[in-house]
Amino acid sequence: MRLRPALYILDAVMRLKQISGLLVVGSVLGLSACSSVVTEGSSAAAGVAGTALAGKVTNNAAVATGIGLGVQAAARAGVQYEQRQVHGEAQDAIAKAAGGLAVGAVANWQIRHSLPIEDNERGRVTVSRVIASQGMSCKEIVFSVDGLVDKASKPTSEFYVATICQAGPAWKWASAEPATERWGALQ
Amino acid sequence: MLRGGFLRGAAGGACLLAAAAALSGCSSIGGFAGAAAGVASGAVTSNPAVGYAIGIGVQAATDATAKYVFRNWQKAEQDEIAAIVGQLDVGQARKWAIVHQIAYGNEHGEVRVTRLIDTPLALCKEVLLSVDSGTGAELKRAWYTASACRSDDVWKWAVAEPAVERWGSLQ
Repeated sequence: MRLRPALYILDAVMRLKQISGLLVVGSVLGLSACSSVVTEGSSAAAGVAGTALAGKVTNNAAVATGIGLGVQAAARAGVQYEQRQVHGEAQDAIAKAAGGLAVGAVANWQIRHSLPIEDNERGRVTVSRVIASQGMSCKEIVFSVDGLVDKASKPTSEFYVATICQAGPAWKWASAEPATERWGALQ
Repeated sequence: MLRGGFLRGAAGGACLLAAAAALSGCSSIGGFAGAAAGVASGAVTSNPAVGYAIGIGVQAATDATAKYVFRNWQKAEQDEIAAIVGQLDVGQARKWAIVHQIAYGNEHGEVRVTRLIDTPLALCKEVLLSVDSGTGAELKRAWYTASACRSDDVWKWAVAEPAVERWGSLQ
């Protein structure tokens, strides 16, 4: 017995919706650091929806798959753009807190995100070194991630070293990307 | 019927995935798995959307898993180097090496502490580390800078992420 094609599509799309739904729920439940799950799940769901939609307007398998891949790529780029925007907010918050500090002074920082795809984290930051030269003013900072906003602190804080530089009136994150040989599992 | 096809596709995908992993760089595993599952599912349905859905579904799951696994490998290497850094004073150097259970991505080199970053928040160290390849006259050393901080007496890798404007194709 052979099911009609429409049922195949419906079943596949429902299955994917369930999977991506679970992924999204999982990420909201505290796995939001695993950004690749959000990216892959969202763009895959979009690609499948795109292909299913394309199946209605063309009988050509290659064209339908092409439309699906195009939608998937666009969705992936969109999600990654959004993730960068949201993460940029966190970097700006730490840079802003550290910008006015002298070497050795400690300040608190916290971030409440506009979109709940990253944790609202808080911590402390201090300046370990001033790096200044003609026309540029930068600082090496050591910051901690102590826990979530309005929640009790984690038993062990994490510490990181970064650099910030003054750009106009604001202080901005200035750590450059790792050498391409060291990207490894990053992408 | 669809369920059977899905399982057959997944099984075929797993076999091809193993072959693909042995033959290629690991970042393409998801694509291979997706393609394998897509092709396998094409055998049970002539509908492109179904083949595509199964292929992409397998690819997404595999990509996320592969990223998780490789990130853990990288973390093991970072922990190994940071632990050595914790034992060194400024100016001292020592060899480091990471041996994974699966013989992929094993690396070794030398690590030197160049500066102590003593802050009210945490004690950190700035280091120079080399990743060596080849031996004897063929020895090649690539040098990088990094930092590690102490948190509850455990030394951890402390290099923060790049500015988002510099992420580019990183993610």
